[in-house]
Amino acid sequence: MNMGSLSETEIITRAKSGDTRAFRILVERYQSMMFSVSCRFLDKDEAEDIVQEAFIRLWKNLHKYRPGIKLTTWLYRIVTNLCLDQLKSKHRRNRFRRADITEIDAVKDHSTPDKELEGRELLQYVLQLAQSLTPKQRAVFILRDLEGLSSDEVCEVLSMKAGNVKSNLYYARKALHEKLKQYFEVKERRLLL
Amino acid sequence: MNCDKVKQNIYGYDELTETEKGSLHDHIAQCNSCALLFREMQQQRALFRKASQWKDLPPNPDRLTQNVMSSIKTPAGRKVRPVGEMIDRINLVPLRLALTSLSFFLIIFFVSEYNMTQSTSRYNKSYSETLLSEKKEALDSGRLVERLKQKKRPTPFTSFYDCIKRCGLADWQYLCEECKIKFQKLVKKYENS
Ligand SMILES: [Zn+2]
Repeated sequence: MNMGSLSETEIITRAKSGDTRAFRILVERYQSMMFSVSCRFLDKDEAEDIVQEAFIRLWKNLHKYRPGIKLTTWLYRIVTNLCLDQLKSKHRRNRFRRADITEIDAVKDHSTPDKELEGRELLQYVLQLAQSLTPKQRAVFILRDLEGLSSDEVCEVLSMKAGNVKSNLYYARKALHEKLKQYFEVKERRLLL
Repeated sequence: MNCDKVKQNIYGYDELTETEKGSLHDHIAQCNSCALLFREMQQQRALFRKASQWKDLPPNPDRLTQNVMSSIKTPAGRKVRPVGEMIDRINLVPLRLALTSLSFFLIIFFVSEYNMTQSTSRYNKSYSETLLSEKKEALDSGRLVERLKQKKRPTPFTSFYDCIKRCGLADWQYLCEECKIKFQKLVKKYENS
């Protein structure tokens, strides 16, 4: 049986009935997306563990999957929840160690870069700014503005009401705007020169 | 509309209805402060879009897939079809047919050999005793593996059937030399037919 010729629904149905080969296709197909999302919350090393754990959870809960919901939405939900849990536990650890060390966020450089950023550097800069947001604001921002999910999808992924998503997004964008103001000013000045 | 409400709408511009967008544009046409925020937020959106284009990729996708696949276990209530999956993997119909006929051929061959052994009564008693002790030994898988590792046969086998039965066709290399030759002949005979 050539799995490549099967539709996504058929692959999911097979994986649901315990076919590990069909599940493998899902792992191969979605690991990049899952890894990229995880890297927007966490370090690369942590992201790999998160993706692994996310797929194990998917496998264990696949029998609950209903075709009405997009698989990617489901994957986003699993991976985002794992990332938020990880952030929470990291936060707890940091709070515990705060007496010994300077807070991690304070150490990181939030200053305005002196050159036009591109690619990975630009993303890293934006993500660094987003570290000051609350975990919920950060999740809404990442899913809506970086992953390009619709508001309805964000509601679904984070199990939040539309109003709640909207207000978190508002505060996230406003906070980031405050931080980016300087960046835009520098950029504008550079254009004028 | 007052400036505070307009500014709130600027942060959530993509969530607005066409009517709301219309009245927002009417306002910023006359209000410099809101117009500035609108322009900056446009820049911010463009910056996030550009940043979002960078996607971190898993450093070793094959390893990641392997790690996931080796940690998943079949959840309770799911059917496992190891043999079925193995057969599914064989895509060529002629090969499937050939393997099926080979297995039939082997069954018929073993049955006839077995009947022959049964009819020769000369070592019936002592043989059945040996067989019983060997069956016991076979149940003790640790000892059996040990013996297979040594690649030594304690006694020469009396027939092809016994040899195949004792080593259970677990591995070709554990057949005694005599049986290897016999088995090779059998396969050749089958291929020529
Ligand atoms: Zn105004």
